[in-house]
Amino acid sequence: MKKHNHNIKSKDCIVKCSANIVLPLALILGIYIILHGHLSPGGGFQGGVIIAGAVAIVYVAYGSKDTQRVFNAERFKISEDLGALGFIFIASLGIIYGTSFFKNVIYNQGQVGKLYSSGTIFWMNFAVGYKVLAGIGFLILIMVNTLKSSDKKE
Amino acid sequence: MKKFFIWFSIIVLAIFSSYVAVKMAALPSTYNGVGELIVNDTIKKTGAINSVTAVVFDFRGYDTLGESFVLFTAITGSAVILRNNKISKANGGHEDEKA
Repeated sequence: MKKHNHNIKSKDCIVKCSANIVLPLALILGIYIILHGHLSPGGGFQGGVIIAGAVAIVYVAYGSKDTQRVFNAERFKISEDLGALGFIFIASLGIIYGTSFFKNVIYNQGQVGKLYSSGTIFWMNFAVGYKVLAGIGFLILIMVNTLKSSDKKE
Repeated sequence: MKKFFIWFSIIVLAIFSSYVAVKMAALPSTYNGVGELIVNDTIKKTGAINSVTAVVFDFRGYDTLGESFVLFTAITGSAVILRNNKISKANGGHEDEKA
């Protein structure tokens, strides 16, 4: 099979330069969506997926060797576990305070409408966003590795 | 014998489900139930302006827990399937650097 299916060349200047512009914007937009989940549309899942798209952007621009060098798969895995455990810990704050599981016990902290308000919802957004960005990033990283190894067989 | 069991179970299921349907039609309406509470008292009860997030992370927190673990399971399954590729890539990575 011939190899001129690779229509996007990595290390191409246009792709690289536009990735350099888009990447920080995507990261900041994702962080904004995670942190403002209780104020504006979005939340942990959506912002986490946007941040995880950074892995795909780096792969498109810089090729798979640099993607391997930059991202650490083990750290992604540990981060996802930490996010899930943090989510369960925040959910079980209700039991620690003496009420039921998933009860919003600290809901009256901060002013309504400000960034730090709504108690456990804010922290749960953060934990779920961290978990989702690590999980989807790990998934994309694994898929990129699969692409590379199937390229080598041809 | 097999046919008898099939028809028997169908008849039992039909009788039971029609009984349940008749009984449930007589239940009181839930129009002013938890829906009203979610619409009116979101800010008072949770302090979140975005009521969708309030529903997802507070009123239906168990749903979010299940969702996030569906994602966790999916990623674990993908990692198990694609693990062989990852190992072969780790062996082949050095050859690529030499070339």
